Amino acid sequence: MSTEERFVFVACGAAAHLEALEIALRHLRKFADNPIVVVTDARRNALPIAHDRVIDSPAPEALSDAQAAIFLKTSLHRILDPEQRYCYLDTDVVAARPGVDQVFMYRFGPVTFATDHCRMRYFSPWAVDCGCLSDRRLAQAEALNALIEPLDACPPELVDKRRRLQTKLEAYSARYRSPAPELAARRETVRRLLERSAGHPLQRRAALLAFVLPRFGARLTRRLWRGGDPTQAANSVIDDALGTLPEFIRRELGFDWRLDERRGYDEAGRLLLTDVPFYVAKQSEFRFDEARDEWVDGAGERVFHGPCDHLRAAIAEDFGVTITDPDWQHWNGGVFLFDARPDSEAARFLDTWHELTLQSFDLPRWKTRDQGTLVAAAWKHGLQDQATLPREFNFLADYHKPGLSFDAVRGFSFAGRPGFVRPYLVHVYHHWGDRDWAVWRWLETRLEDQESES
Amino acid sequence: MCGIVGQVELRGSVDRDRLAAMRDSLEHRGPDDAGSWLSPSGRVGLGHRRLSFLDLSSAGHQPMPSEDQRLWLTLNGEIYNHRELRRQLEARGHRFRSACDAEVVLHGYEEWGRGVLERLSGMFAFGLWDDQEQELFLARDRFGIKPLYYFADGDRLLFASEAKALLAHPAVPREVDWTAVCDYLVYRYVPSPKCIFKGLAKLPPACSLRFGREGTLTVREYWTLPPGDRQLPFDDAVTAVDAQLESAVRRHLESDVALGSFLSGGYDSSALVLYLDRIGYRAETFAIGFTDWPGSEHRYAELVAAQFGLEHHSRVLGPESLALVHRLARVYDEPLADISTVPTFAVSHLAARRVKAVLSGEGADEIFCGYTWQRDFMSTLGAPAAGNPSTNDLVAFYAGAMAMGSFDRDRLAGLLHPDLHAHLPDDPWWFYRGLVRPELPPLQRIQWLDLKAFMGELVLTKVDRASMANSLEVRVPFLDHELVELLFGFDPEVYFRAGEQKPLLRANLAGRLPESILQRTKQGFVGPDSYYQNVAWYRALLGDSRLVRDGVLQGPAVEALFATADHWRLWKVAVLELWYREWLT
Repeated sequence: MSTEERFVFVACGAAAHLEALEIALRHLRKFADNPIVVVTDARRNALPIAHDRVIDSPAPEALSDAQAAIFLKTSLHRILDPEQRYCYLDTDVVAARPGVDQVFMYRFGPVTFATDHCRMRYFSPWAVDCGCLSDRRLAQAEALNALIEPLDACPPELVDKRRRLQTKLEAYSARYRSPAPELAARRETVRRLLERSAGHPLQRRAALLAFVLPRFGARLTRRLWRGGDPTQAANSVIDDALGTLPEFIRRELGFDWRLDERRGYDEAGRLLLTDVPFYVAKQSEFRFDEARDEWVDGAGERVFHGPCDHLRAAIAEDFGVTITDPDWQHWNGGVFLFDARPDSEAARFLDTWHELTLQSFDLPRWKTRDQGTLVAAAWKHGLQDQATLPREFNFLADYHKPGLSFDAVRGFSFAGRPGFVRPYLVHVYHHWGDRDWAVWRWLETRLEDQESES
Repeated sequence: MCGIVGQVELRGSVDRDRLAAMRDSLEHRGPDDAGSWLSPSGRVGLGHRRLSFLDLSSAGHQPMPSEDQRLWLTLNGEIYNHRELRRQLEARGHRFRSACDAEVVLHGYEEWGRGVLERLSGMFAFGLWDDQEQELFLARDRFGIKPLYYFADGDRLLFASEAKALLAHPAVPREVDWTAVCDYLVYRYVPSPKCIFKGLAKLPPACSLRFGREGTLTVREYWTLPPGDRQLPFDDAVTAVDAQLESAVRRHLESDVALGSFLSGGYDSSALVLYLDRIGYRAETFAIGFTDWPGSEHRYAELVAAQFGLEHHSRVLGPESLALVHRLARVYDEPLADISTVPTFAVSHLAARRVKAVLSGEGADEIFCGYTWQRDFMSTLGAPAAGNPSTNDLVAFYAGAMAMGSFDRDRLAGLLHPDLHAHLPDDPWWFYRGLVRPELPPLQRIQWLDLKAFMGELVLTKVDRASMANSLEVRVPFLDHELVELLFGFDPEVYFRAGEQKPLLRANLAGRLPESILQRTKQGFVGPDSYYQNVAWYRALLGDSRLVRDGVLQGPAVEALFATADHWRLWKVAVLELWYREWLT
């Protein structure tokens, strides 16, 4: 009883942000019993904030409004009553049903976040200006990402196994890319011949080329010795090699690559790898251009390079934080639990997040967001394996997410996955306020419903 | 209710900062105040985190000395008969400085020595340093409501309310006792005095411990229940129970702050609410329900609360609540595989927003015969026609009743890595076997096992940690020892009727509670089976098990549990996995 649990929003600047706050506040007041605090920089506000607990905490004038909001968010522990516990909410997070207060039960560590809707590699181009993403194609890229990620996913229990497999594949790939002159010459021969045998489904796979390569030279020489068209001979050698590929992969890599399905399974028959470009091309206009090493749309225009490692590199180079898992499931910054006591591990974490974020404002390659620096802070404090909030407490309702369905009674569902999710807190991604969107219409009705927690 | 720690060094001295670190690892048990005391010699240190209920002033600060500073006390718990003892002690010339119940223990020890334990009514665990005798005296209440761990290595003794505080001291190694892991898989908990961490021990319920200047350590059991043989007409027994239960509830209200009550809408918690109403105490009530489940208890709780016009609070959990197991791995610093840990934690969190303490119905099933296995026993092995059941038969029966995914020696060998097979127990049921008391009537033998094993080791541990993690005190009036002694004093024929649930309690509730409550059958404090039987959830948690990777469990054996959807054993393994990740990696 001596420690109270409180919700906290941060909002400042343009009217749109403060109007969003007003909506989020109305929902939260309806569904939560715990007190709600709003932190703002009132000097910047286009509209007054109608709430009974508002803390005005000026951010440095030099910061933009977006930067100021992030500044306040990452320094909440220095602004709020240190004796209480908090749940931070972005202003686009909307309470949708009774029981929201339960979120405080899920304090799994000094700070507790929910997972984001994609993994770090996919988020990377949104966090840093690495050239992998064109801003004007943002929505298109998000849609493509949403297609790729489920195909590229595997069950959590197999993540480590797949990582080990990918490490091996990368080793093969590195061998293929080796600068050794004799390999370079062979590689060029292979590439040339492969280009002439365009259309072979596996040609783009560097790892598989690495498999073909060692078998190529001698066999090709033998075929050519017997006479015949060089291209045909090359294709024949490649087909032979690929014919033994599944056996080779099973032996060398310990998994079962099924050419017909274009999927790889472990010894227990569990899906490990999918030929993502093949399936994306089947489902959409997007395709992966091997020669350009990038994803393109139907018109051949670059969308983005696909998942990239630039965020991890930037974190290592700019902040000296090493992330050993390039495929880490990073956190979403929209909802998180924390303590504000100055001597707490939570405060130390938030200090780190704050400092790294401020640094990032001055680094040209960093976009004005707090989520990339959140990755750095999590790893710096060794929290990367900590459990995350159940998704019901930060459900990312993404307008562009293919396969995400909504039923006003039963809740959200994902294509191919059983069951429904009935979120307490809905994080609205895109189309905020769009009454043509069933999710938004439903959220509006939530304020009218008289449903009680019990 | 509080958190306590202490340290006695035989050769070196106590490091004040380390003692404070141990103490503050228990802040959740006592956020209101913190105190430490180091003896002038530096060899002894006591620490205390306080959750205050009586005499909220600084006079209740602990560790608390006797007037002459010969004795220093750090106490966790409540002494419900402290006023009565205070009167007795004042009549013998003792002068009190505070209104705190803790001071009664100090003066009581001065007056009666270790015999003070037999006079205390309540829930407690304490450490008392006697500077004159140069002796540490530890004690734990009769039923094990409050916990006490200790560690002794020849150079020192450390004690604390929770293992995590001992592990905060650098002298305590964080190593696994693999025999305790076997015990956990067999029982769902690690029975006292053993602990999952090598070198640590739990002081068993109803025991005291003396640690002398030479490092001698003596454990003594100070209370037990004699066989019941008192014959009484049923109606007279009903009246006697009624009076004793009212008295127990009244005593458990001893507090300077408002108390609430857990309320499930079952017999036991509804009975507490009924007696509170009779006493005229208006307690807020707290219940947990589960979404989309006809068996959800919160509706029944609402009925009872409405009948008595009480301010009632419900929380309805969904399947996402299973995620709490990640937090519980920290809360329970030993693995405890009871699925009701989740709702117990949730209802504690709910109540802690409004009150500092609640009443709860633990103990009623044990003493009034509410468990199905008690009735099963009386219709089979315990039936008069069956004769006197042997210890082996009784242990086998009880092990079967408690199974919930049990492991016998072969199953343990199948699951554990061969490197650990040297730790397999010759007799997996050693704990039950040691608790069998052939001198008791057959039914009371089972009840004694329930009190000492299921309740003392599992249920009360579950409730203490889940509530104290939320800085909430749980009081259990059904475990008032005078009430328990009254019931156990009866010949079982007085309080047991085949086919009838808790007849003595029910007779006291009849006509005073809604019929829909009285007609309810026994239901555990758990959610729908579908929550716990989701193999995909287990797969996600255990598919890349660190226990397997580290050579503790055999991967194919875990796979086999998936393949057969062996939920109960999967639950045990999942809890062990999370505990292992939290504390050993």
